[in-house]
Amino acid sequence: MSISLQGTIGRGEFERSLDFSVVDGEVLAITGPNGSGKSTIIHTIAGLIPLRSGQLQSENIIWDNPSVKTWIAPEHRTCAVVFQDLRLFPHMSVVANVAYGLRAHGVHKDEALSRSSAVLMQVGLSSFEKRRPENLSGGERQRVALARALVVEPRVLLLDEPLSAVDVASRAALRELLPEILSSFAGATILVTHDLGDVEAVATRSLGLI
Amino acid sequence: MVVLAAIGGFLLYRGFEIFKDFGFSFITGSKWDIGNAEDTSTAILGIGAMLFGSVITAIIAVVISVPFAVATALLIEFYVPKWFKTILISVLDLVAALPSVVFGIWGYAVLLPLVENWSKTIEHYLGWIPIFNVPSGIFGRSPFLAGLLLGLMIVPIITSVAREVYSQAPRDLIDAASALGGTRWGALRAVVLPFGRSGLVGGTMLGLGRALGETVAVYLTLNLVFQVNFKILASAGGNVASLIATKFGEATEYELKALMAAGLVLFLVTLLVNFGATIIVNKSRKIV
Amino acid sequence: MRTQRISPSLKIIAAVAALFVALPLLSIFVRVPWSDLRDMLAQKSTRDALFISLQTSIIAALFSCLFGVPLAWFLARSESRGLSVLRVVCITPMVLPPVVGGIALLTAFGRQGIVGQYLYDWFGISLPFTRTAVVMAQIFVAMPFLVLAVEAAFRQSDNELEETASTMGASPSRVFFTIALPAARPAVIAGVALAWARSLGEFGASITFAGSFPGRTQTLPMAVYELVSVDYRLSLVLSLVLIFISVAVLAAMRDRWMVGR
Repeated sequence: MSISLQGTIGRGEFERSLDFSVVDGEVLAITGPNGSGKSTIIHTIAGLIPLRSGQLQSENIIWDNPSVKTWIAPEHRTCAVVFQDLRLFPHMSVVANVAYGLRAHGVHKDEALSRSSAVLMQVGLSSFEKRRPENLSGGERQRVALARALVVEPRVLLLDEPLSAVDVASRAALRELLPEILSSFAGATILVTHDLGDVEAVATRSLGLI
Repeated sequence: MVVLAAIGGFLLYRGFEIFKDFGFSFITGSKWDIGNAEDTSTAILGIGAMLFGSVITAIIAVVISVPFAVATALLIEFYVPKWFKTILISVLDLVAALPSVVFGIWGYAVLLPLVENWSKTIEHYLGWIPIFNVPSGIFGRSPFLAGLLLGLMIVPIITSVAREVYSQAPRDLIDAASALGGTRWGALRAVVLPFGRSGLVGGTMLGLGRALGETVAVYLTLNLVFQVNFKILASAGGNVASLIATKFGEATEYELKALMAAGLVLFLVTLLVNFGATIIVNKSRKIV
Repeated sequence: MRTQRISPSLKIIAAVAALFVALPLLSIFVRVPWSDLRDMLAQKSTRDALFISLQTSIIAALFSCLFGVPLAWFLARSESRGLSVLRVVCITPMVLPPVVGGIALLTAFGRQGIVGQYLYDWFGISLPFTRTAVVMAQIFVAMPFLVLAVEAAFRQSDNELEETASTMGASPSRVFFTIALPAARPAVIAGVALAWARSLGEFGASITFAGSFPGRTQTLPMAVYELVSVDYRLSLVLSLVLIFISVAVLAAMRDRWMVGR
């Protein structure tokens, strides 16, 4: 099993109990209406919000367990996130955005750049390397965010509403691209969405929040 | 807070001997005479005149600068087009950043002769009012001149605080007041000025604190005379900060302690003013 | 944008205010003895003061930046208790009369000061009345301005981007240097300019802590102060130099940070 969460997540007044696990190669789609805590799940797994109680575990490493006072900092968790609002770094070029995670993991600059180029080609953006995020369309930005998450070869990939910030035309293209990319991805994927079309397109299993 | 207390503590410790020797008369006395350097008991030290000078120049400064600052802040926030607004703000920044010695020199070189003439006119017509009377006939480097200069120096501080509060004034109320048929100025007077009053008081006190602590500009524009001078046009006065700066270099050990004690008094006064300012400014923010 | 009708009284006050500001600059230009300017600037005492001023103020601005930026970062992002206390402490020098600041420095680092006596006993270091003391006094007075400006920028900047960087494996210090600092760069530049201008014009704290010894600790403002009664025209020239430098600093930096936005 690659990632498992049994416990209570919460932010502010909001709180909810969860119990699920995802194995390598699996794509779990978590669906639910706005306010059901979908983003909170992603943020909790990524380490941006602490777990209220219970345990979050990857392989046999405990990432978060308040009762034994274990908490691994976000930068030491082997997961990668595509945020709902993408959060590309505006002061960096596309390729620098993608290479950032590799550089942070201590990969040499030349190697980081060539690996980033390869992933950008995989998502169909090889001619966009030198551009700034502000000069890209919504769909292109989405692909950069995806490339940025994939390039570090995470054990767990977290996708928060990956198609919500995209216009209809690009969404169709991305719905074709996404399953293709996820099928070649070795780790576990958690996808959070309110759009059942996304679930059909990519998920191997789904979990509904009420 | 701890550092504030620590600074106060050290100064108190250093100046303790002085307070013990002179007691309250250190603050009220207006004579500064170190007497025989060997025998500290011959010294008579009091900062009354300097303290009075600090206060009177700061008050003059505030009286002069507040109307200017309010007008400038209103202009910037409500009247001028954007490009002019940028210029005004940069000019104010520049004035705020100019070294005070430059103001001092300007006051000495340019303002002094002008003010001397104004003072003579004022004395001629209003001399029957005690504070405008100049029996000595010597005008020159007077509290009025120093206060005027300090007033100019603190305009940017007060303006920036006033701008901040005015910009928070409810725009819909202003528009409503204008729509009721009044002039824009009438609307501002009815809505913005009352709204920003407490914030303005806070900004003014910040300016007051700056004026109380100013050194070199006052040194250059005020004749250092140890005498409580409430005749603001006459050439005599001084303030605590410039006293410390002028005497510090060649002070005897005993005088040094006295200067530190003077520093403590000045420190306490500015602290008081600033605390007042902080409280008032915070209050005005909370209302919003 | 619609043009506003400006009431005549406000127009007049505005004109007077503008004049008020423009006058000092213009009048010093008028009074400066232009014909002797070259000789005066070539005098050793002038050059010494100019050199000391530039040297100390640049060092002070750099040190303010080096220590002030991390301090601002800490103030903006840390959640430790006692933070408000620390903030008050850091801002205190802004409201302290500079002369009192100089005395405070003396009580701390003077030869009989709290720290100073040990520095002297153990290392033979005596700080007061040295050029180092000038720099210390300038940092003491100028750094709070930088800290405030930069802290405000850090507060406004996007916490989410920093979080994102950390999920990508960036350590806190990497996040600071690659994400937070670039975002706050305009404010840092502005803060350094402000600190530099303050250091350049600093008088009260340096004269009490470092004294005014020509060729050793005498900066331009001190030289002006000493010269007024001795050589009035030279003091005017030095003021002109001061105005010129501070206007240049502000103008250069201002353009930069306006474009940066």
